[in-house]
Amino acid sequence: MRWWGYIICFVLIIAGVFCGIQLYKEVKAESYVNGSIDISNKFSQESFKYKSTSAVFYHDLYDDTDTYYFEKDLLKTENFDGEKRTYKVMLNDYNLFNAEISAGAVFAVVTIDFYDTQGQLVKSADMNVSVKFLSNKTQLTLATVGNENAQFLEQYFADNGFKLQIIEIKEDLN
Amino acid sequence: MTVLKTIANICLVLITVFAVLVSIAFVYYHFFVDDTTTGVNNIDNQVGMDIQEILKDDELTEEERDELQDRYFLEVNYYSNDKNNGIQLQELKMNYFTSYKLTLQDYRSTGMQYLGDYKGLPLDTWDGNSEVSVVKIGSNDRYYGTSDECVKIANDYVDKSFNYYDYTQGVAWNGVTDENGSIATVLTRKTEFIIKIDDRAFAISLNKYFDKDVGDVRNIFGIGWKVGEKYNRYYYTYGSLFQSCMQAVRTNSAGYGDYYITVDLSSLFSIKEYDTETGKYKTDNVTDIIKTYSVLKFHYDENGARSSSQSMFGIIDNNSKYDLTQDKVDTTYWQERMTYNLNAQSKLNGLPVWTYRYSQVYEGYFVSLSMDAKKIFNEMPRTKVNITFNVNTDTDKQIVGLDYNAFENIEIDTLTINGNGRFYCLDKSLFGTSLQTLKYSGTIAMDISSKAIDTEYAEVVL
Repeated sequence: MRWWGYIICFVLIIAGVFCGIQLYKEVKAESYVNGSIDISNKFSQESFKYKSTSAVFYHDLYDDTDTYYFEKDLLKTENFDGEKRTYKVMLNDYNLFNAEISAGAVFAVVTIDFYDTQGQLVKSADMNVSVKFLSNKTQLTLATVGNENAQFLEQYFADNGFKLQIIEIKEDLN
Repeated sequence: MTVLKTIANICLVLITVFAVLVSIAFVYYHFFVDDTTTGVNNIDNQVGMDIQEILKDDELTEEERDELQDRYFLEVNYYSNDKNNGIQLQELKMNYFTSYKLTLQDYRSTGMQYLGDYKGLPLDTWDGNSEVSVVKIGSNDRYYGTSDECVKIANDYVDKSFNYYDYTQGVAWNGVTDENGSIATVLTRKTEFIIKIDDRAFAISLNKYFDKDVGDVRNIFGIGWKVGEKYNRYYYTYGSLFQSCMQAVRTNSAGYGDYYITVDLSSLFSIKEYDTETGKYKTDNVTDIIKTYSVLKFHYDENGARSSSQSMFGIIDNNSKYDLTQDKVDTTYWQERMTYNLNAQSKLNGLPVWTYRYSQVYEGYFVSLSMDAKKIFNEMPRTKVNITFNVNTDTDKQIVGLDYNAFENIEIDTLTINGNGRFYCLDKSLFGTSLQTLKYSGTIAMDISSKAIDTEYAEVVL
């Protein structure tokens, strides 16, 4: 081998060492950068769960029934089947065991009584809870008749939050 | 000697070949593999704290767990008022830490709120008469808005179009004042947030800018000619971030609702990783991490905001009692109770809520609440139970009364018995129920054991 051959080898080896160090640094330093985020945007653990810190009821000016609605279009819920499976419906801490469950929908009527500091009943508010599991979305609707009912329910949900769960029962009834 | 020299030359050549291969590998990785996306990072990694550890805390309530699980660096709350039933409300909240310890106590949120549809522009610090700040050697290119003074203006700039709120320990507040300083986090280009990604602490700050060619034209006696490039520097601010987030939410394909999206923050933010061992920032370029790891959680609503409870801060326009409700009534109350109206047809998650025991002595069925129903009622905090029986027509079973321990401390507000015949209440059938009112038809003969109930109640004959 000629003398310049040794020089070329020497230069290439030095370059290789340098590149090797850089390669090691880049792989080690940025390996955690590689990745993608898995956002399924689907309900998974429970059949359905919606929670909010409040619920505000709106009245359609063209609706002459004096009905106030809280409506939400939510993500599609997978695998709900009210005919083949059994579910329990929970509104906050309350078990709505009287809810009517059909193939793709849940409907319940709840009554919440409000008492003043003297223990006297000041308002009894009926509210319809409807959840429809459609092919492309889940439709949640709360409805109550009357402005005062709507305001008391809004106050209740502002104080306690709103959490509606529809959970499949597999073994235990509770 | 010749053999040894040959072997040495061969080794040298092999090492050289290996070095060349390493060099090729480096070039390939550096230019072609660096940005490859591999693997999956769960969305939970975006949570600003070590949820897995904190969630093990038995003292956390379910509400606290829910709140912790839902924290991401960016959150948007957008009431579009498309239904014209309130006001348009746009909110952006950033969740972060105040120290590299990344503990629960260090957790904090800062947010911006705008009433209406925010339209802002990147900050332009050039007044049109600035001197050339930077001139590239060998070119006529000029850069405006890059002087120390301009940078200072940009870095200290706070957009006063917004209401700013800080959020700590479940309470939001506005601590920003013009004259008296601030006891809140001020959102400027110097503000540094500490966030947690993959169990590591990163400091990010919104300090990027862009240069726009505005043309360098000389003009003499109305005749102009271009002599070079002239750039003006525009600085991004938190208003830029706010507007970009609202734009992303407004244009999302899923429409109204609650969703998550990943957003590329690399054009606005720079990021550096904190080395807890040395107490210094690492020098590695980790900008890519905010390209792929930034999750924006948003709520997009077609309604208009009507109440401060709809704000993610619980405040609208610095007013925690903001409310546009018409015909407002006093809704203060002491306690609420969920009312359950039960009858013989009531179901418990599709199953019978009642159990029946046949008595040959009384020639009919005694009824009591099923064990499952008792258990469910005992688990619920405040219930008001009304029960109605029609002893003749409710079921194919002839109901003759309430069985022993029929309710076992389940509170009953009103018990109504319709029909005709005799109706028995056996011992302890209504114990612990705190029955308020007993209603029965005039055609019913009530036969209540002296040990059936332990409280007073009102009787109403229908």
